[in-house]
Amino acid sequence: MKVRLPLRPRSVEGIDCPFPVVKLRVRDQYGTLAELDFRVDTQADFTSIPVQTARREGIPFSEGQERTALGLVGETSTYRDQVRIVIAGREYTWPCDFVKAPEPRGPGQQARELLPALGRAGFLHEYAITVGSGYLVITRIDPIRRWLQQRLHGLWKLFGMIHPANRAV
Amino acid sequence: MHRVVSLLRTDMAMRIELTPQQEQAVKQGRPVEVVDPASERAFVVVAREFYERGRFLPEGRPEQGPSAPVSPAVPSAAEAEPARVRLCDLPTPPDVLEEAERWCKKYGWRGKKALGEVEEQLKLQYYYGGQAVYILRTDEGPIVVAIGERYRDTPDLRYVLLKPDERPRASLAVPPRWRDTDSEILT
Repeated sequence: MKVRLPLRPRSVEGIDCPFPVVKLRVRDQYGTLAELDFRVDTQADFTSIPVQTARREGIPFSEGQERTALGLVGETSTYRDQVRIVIAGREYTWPCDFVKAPEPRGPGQQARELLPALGRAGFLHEYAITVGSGYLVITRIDPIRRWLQQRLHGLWKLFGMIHPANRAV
Repeated sequence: MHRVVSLLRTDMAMRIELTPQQEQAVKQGRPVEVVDPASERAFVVVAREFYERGRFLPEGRPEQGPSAPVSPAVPSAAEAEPARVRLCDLPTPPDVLEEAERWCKKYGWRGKKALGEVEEQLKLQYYYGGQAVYILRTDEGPIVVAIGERYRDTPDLRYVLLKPDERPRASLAVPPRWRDTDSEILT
């Protein structure tokens, strides 16, 4: 399975910043599927869904495990649980952080609405993604593809075509 | 300073205060949802010229029932229910069209279909940027159901706002703000 999705146009002060988004269906507490836009974030450990969005969409989660999520711009509290996501007819259960929304900037202001984000845990084990030339490409790593890629990477390593991780690119 | 708008009710005039942001949105031709605190009924405020244009845009279309999508200028017949707005009924500002053409050229997204899709994305940003909305897929293009302030914290909103036949076609989205000035760091 391979899907190609055009990046979403976005500009900040006239600078183009297109971003990868994928619509995914999430199992709600009534057993039906709710479709949500997810930003693809390969630097996030876990998939994350704002608490407000989860409650609005009836996505079940437990408030039993409160955790902290760290980012470049600060930290926030999350509830760590699992989410059931359907991709191309396959249902996966992946860890998920249900994130409390950041406080509004000032009195009388509304907190900014945030999209859920698709993180690495679970997702990158099953799928490969590339972003380039205006498209997000999602490819399922089936057993044959996984076997082939492992062999290819072995060959590339043998011929010195794998860049050492401890050297600048 | 808030701008006061008067709406007529059968027995008395209702005064609604618009924040500077709402006033700006109305001036730009964007619909703004306001709630009468006394009755908790929702209304949509639009500029007169936009309302007049909007009324005559869907020429030749059949009369719209309570569950049918309505023009952005016409409040829903069932006022308790947020309006269903056909994205194609909203005027396409020249800026949006220009941007859509620019993006398509930049990334080589060719054809009318690709241009139409980018235009839809940019119109969503223009009219609904930064807001959570449900987007319903239909043969006539996307229909937008804006999640107003009063619904922000409503649990199971999909079951409250959307009819059973709408739910499988609905997708929750938060379009980026049109020409945003804030950059985002997800991680």
